[in-house]
Amino acid sequence: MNLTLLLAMPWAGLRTSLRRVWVLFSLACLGGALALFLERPGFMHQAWSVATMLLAFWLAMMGLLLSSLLLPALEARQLSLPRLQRAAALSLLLNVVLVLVAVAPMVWLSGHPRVAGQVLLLGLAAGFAYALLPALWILPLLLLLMLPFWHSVGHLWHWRMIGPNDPRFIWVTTAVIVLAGLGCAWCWRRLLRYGVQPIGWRMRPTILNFHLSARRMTGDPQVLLACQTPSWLLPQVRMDAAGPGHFPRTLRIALGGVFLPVTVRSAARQLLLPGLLVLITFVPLLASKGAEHDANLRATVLSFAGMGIGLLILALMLTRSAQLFYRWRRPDGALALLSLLPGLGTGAAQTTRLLETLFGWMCAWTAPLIGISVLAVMVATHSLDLAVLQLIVLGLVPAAEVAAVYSTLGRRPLPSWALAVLAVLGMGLFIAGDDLLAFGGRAVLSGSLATFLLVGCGLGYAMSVLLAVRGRSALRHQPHPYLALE
Amino acid sequence: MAESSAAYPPIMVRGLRHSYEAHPALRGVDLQVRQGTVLGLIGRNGAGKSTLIRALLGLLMPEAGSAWVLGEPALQLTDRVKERLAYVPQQPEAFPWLTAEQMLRFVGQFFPRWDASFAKDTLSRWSIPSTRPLVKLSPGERQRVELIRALASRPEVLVLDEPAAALDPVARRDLLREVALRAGEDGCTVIFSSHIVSDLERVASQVALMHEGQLRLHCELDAAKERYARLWLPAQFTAVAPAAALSRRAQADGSLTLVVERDAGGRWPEVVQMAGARLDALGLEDLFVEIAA
Repeated sequence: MNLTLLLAMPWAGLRTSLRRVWVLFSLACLGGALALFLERPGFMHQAWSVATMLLAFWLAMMGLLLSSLLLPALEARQLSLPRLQRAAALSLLLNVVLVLVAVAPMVWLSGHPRVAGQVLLLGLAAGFAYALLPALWILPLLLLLMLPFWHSVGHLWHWRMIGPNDPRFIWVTTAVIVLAGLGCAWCWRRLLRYGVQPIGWRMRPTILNFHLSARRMTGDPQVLLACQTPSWLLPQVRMDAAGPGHFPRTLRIALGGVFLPVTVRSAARQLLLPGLLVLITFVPLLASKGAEHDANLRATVLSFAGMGIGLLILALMLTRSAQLFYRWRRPDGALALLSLLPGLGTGAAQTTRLLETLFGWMCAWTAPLIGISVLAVMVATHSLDLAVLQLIVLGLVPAAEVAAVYSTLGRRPLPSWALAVLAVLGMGLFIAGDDLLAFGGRAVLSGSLATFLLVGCGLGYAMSVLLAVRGRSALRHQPHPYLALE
Repeated sequence: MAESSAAYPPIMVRGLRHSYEAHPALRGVDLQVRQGTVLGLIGRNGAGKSTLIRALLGLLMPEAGSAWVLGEPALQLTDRVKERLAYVPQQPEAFPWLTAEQMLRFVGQFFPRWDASFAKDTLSRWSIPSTRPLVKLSPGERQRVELIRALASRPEVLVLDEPAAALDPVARRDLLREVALRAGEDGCTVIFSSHIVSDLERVASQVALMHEGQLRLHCELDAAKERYARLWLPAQFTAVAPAAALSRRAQADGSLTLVVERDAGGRWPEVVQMAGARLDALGLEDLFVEIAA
């Protein structure tokens, strides 16, 4: 196998549209990082660190993509094609080297080559670890890896937080990277030695579990996830007050996933882990005393209010929109049953009830979260301007969700390149917003960063309105809302 | 039941056309199904069977043509018709987050004629774990749950898109028995698409053959064997081959194989009488292969 084929191997399994999205995403990340490394002073506080995080995120995604080479390697093993099996491993190594060579000049440009280099390697290792390590290890391992960097937990144990300026940073990150690399290599070797069958799903790499489920079931990620989840962890559905005449509850059961009404016990089980994370973050902080207390509390509240809740709202929005998209792409799924289920109304009434359910559920989650976030920013910064800015940035998420709902139901989905542009714009806004909250505060509110935020938000709102109007108009011309995307 | 048998056929389709990304899936399909008919819809993969079924149930908006179910336009069905209609898709994926028992209870509330005892008994008779989420069941078990869901609503029109694909022979036999019972005793109209010709031969009263988006044949099952035959013409007679053949295949030696049909008077085309021409009777499977190959 020649060098070109080896380098092209990870892309061979991707659909053309995904390849295009990947190219756009890479250009946006690499271009954005380069622009930030070369920024003029005053545009953004610690622009190099934001650029490094952006690059690390890209490398993590690259790690996920390259991990998919495990699949042709396993297929080659099944077909007794040892040369192809070796070629997959070789392609992985070659591509990793190529990626590292590509980002090396940027590491030098950052002005902090040691720290930036380590963070980028951590990003790449995280991508590989998520995809290749056994599914059961992932969550505890991620928590364990975060511990040295977790400020409030460190405080609880009287550690000093290991930040980039800490002399131990290089050693700790190197250890983490080496451990992740060794773990991935062990998993790869073990699978190719013993095959897939003798290894249960808990000990199989996540990427393989997804692949196997995708072959068995639909392309709906939530259904795939449900396949992997033990029965006792699956949500227990509240079936009371569902049926003819009870539209929101009925439609939420039919739509499933994040819309499902679940029992109190089931909700408690699902909220246990996030609740624990919040507890172990805040309890030590609230219990602490001294000069650092106020600063720590402020920083943590801002981090949660700005980035944390913002990302949560974004994640919920993306999950709901993706779920709706997948439901509407599968004509044989819930869509066919909903379309033919009596008692849900006809024509416009059917559409109204569905929209009421979707938007009602969206408001029930998003409005309180935005309220908490804005309030927290106001309390922590004593700045109404910053709170308003936070409201404007977070308001983009429900605006985009309304556009996504209308686009899906109206069967006018966005082309993949537009989705990629929106994703990059959203990511840029969140990074800039967080930077403003965390470092800049009121001082830079009138600067170019705030201008960028406002212009970006304006663009985002305009696009959302345009897409929502386009989708709504198409939906109004449909006989009913349960027609599949084709 | 009397209402549906009155003025309109349970299923009627006129000039349906539809394409996916410029690839035509339906090219002007006309179909009418009488009450109490079990119509076996047969065709190769990609022939347009599922698209036709979705269009006639109003699950997709065709580019041209229209479909009616129990007298109502398929895209604007009212509850009155939906209560009398059941559909089992090719790959049942609905409500995987519910258990079989929850799903049947949930759906049953919407159908006034829901037969809860049938649902319960059949779940138990078919040994389906009723408390396990559907996502954890095998494809065959999920297909059977969907069949129970469809049959328990006591439909007047039952549409099954390759329902036997994931079933083992015993389950298939059970399904066919149920379909025959519903059609025979309740007068239920059934559209049943399948690749398995022997299944269709067991239960279908009519057969419709789809090929490349067109309905190439639609007749009573018993009549199919009488009405169609394979005609082989030696090379010297190919010029006089009938133009209205259902299929036409040139052989390497210059001879021609055609599927021909009797005319309204029950006569074969005249060319059959020519010396050297050969007419072979066809079973349903042979007929399918001749037309669709």
